Amino acid sequence: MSDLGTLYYINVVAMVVIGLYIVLTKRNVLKILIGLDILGTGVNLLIVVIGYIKGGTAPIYTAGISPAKFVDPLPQALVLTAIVIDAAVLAMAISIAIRLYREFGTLDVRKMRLLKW
Amino acid sequence: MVTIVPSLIIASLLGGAFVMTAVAPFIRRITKYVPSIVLLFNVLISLGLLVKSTNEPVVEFIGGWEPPYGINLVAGPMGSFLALIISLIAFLISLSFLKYEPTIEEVKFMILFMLSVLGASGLVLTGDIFNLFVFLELMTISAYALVAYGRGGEGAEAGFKYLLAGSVAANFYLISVILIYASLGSLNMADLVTRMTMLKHGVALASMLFLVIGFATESELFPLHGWAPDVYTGAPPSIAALVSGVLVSASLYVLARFFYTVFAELNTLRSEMFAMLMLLGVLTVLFGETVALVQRDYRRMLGYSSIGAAGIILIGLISEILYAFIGALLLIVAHGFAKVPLFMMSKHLEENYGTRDMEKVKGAFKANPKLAIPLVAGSLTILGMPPFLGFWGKLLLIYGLALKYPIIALIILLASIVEAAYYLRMLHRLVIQDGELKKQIKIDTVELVTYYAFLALLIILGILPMLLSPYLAGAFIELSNPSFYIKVAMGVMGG
Repeated sequence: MSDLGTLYYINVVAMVVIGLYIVLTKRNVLKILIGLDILGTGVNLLIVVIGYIKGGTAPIYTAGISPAKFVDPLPQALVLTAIVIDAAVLAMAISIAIRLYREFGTLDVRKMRLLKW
Repeated sequence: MVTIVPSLIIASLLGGAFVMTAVAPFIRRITKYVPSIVLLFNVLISLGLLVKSTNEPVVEFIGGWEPPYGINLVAGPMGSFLALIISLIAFLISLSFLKYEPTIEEVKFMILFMLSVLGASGLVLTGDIFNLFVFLELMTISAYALVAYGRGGEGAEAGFKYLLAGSVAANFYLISVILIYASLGSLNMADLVTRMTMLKHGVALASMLFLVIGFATESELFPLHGWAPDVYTGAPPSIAALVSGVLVSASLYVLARFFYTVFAELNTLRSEMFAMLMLLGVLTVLFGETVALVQRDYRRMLGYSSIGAAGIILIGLISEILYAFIGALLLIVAHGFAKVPLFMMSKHLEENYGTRDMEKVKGAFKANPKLAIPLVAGSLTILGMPPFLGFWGKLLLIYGLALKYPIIALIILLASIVEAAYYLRMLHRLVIQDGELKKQIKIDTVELVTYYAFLALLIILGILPMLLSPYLAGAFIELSNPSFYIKVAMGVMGG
């Protein structure tokens, strides 16, 4: 594993931890959603990093390039799916946030107390 | 001769949802029939798959890509049995949509309902761990929206909580998938079984823990159950029943599938994880049943009772004992069926009396025997009384557990007594006790049909549980023999 690769893995761990921390501690709905996005992006970065090869090329047979240099195409297909799903979750979350604001007149989760938090 | 393939279940739901979207602006009135027709079709398909699967499980390679490269759908006895139960519960719930003269909002509600059921059916049929993630998200994203349909602030708040818990859990599961893929280079469950021994100890442990955290959240196990009581309180009643009977059962299945099949070769770690899950199950049962005892809100009580049931089912599924396993599968059916009328009763309480507080609605159903019968029958099923199906579920589960884990069997027995205490108290308040409430509740015929259909199924299966037994035994063989699953998923050529 190259140094750059290690750096990416550290980045992944940092993003997941920061995202989780924001989700668990922040009290504003939109800030919580930003945390959720950071968490999701961290996981997506992990998917991309596992397919990373230093100096790799696209997995297409071309004269002069050995197949050993091909990057794994599957993680890239996976990450596309995961990104789309992330986008869908956030779109859903924001529309629920709009409803929350209409119902409660605030985005502070401490003031939403119809149910117990 | 038409061949029955599992993708029909997924295709019909997707197709139905698209058709509803397309025709809703023009001929909205017919859209209310689409979910029932599609789901009835799915009931028949999954029944066909189940009957077939005892001789020769049906495996389908999507796009003709053979495993380990492509995605495959595996309709073994376990998968088709759960697909049948999911379709059946969803079909009977969808009957209650027929009373709508649907507005555009209700059409959207029905579409989301079908997508959520689609996700749950896919979850139990897929043989690919990333595909499982996609179905999981499909199931839960639709469920977030459905929960947020609940009235006023409660619905939105419950939906938001469910969304937070659910999407963090799904991300954890995705991490687990990626860790496995990065080390083993495969996503196919059957292919992974043989490769598992190459997994480093640390990576295996990490992926198992991420998986357990993810799916323990989805299946409302004790320390991670936080979203569940609020969802059961805030969601529309039919959706609370769907979450409790379908979504949670499908998530519990995923835990069982991973630890029985995918991680089968990692013996030591696997038995440690089984012990941990068993502990989680026991804690969930104790917590759910005790907290339910002190609830005054009718739906919150049902919600905590669902949490307790999830713990009981988990214990049975992972016990590796034939009787307890069959008991757990029967409880999935009995609990899923019984919770639908129970949750939907709360709608009558709210609409007629404006409250769900059991102290304020004493005798609410006394003057309404048509509603009291399903309420009593549903409660007795959950308590495990004959002649209902729940009796066989609890009996086999406790008998099986007593063979190997007598203490856990005793705990479940005690929990059942606590359960009996609060269910009977609820029945006493709502049905027996005299109150000032003598109101005749207006009931829709369609809704009555839904309640009594569940009741009929519970009694028929309770008197003739042997109708199910060959399939349940088949499901246990499928899960306890990973080599059988591999042979099925990799070897047999599908449509």
